[in-house]
Amino acid sequence: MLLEVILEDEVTCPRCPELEKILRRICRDLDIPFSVKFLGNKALANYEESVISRTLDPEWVKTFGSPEHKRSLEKIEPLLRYMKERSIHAVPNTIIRWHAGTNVKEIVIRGFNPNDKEQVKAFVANLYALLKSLKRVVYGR
Amino acid sequence: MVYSVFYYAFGAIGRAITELVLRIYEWREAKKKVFAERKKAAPAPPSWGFFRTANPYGNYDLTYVPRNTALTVTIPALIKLPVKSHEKARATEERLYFTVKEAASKEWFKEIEELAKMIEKGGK
Repeated sequence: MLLEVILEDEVTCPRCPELEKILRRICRDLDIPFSVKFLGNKALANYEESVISRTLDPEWVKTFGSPEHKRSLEKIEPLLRYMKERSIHAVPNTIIRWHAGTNVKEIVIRGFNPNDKEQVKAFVANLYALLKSLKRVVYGR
Repeated sequence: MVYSVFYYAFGAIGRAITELVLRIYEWREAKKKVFAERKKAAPAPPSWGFFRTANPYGNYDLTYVPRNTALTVTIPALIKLPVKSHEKARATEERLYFTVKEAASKEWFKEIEELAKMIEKGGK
């Protein structure tokens, strides 16, 4: 598929159904394929708001991270290493994937908080605008 | 001890000539180096065929990228394929990570642009 939206979900995740509803509605409006990927019982709820949660890979932070990332890595590195070794995934993740030529490009958005209504509103508006512009870029219409 | 004018003149001329010869020699060597480096440049990786791609579980998959379409097929590398796969991955998958808090901010699109530019430059 040239452009698709994937939700990485887990059965016991309490915040995932809300996000699924929102994503389904946006994708139906814009006519973009949407699918839910269940990760299984190794998944971990992803509610953290720290900047380090941009990625769960310490190597990535060491090479590309800002000084702020590197400072916070000192505390959290053992946890990240444990998660990487056990291949534990955090949920919910919204993945927007599109193809530019033979390259695959992805935007991964970690976490979701349905209780913060203002944040949800802004998130939905931003996501709608992004998908609309991406659709125009990928399909040319 | 006093030397004649000719002594100093010949000395200066001799030094100038040797310096010129050395400079010409250095320039030719540098030129040769540049041409040698140009010849040594590695060939571009293939844009289609079988590729080894990393998966989040620490192993690798085999991905087939067709020549003219964007449809790709990925299979786990559990069997030995009778065809040759390229060791070097094709152009790396560009993946950007954000939290919801960042995605809900007004500066999200700017951030995406900045990160995309950073990827183009190779993380510098």
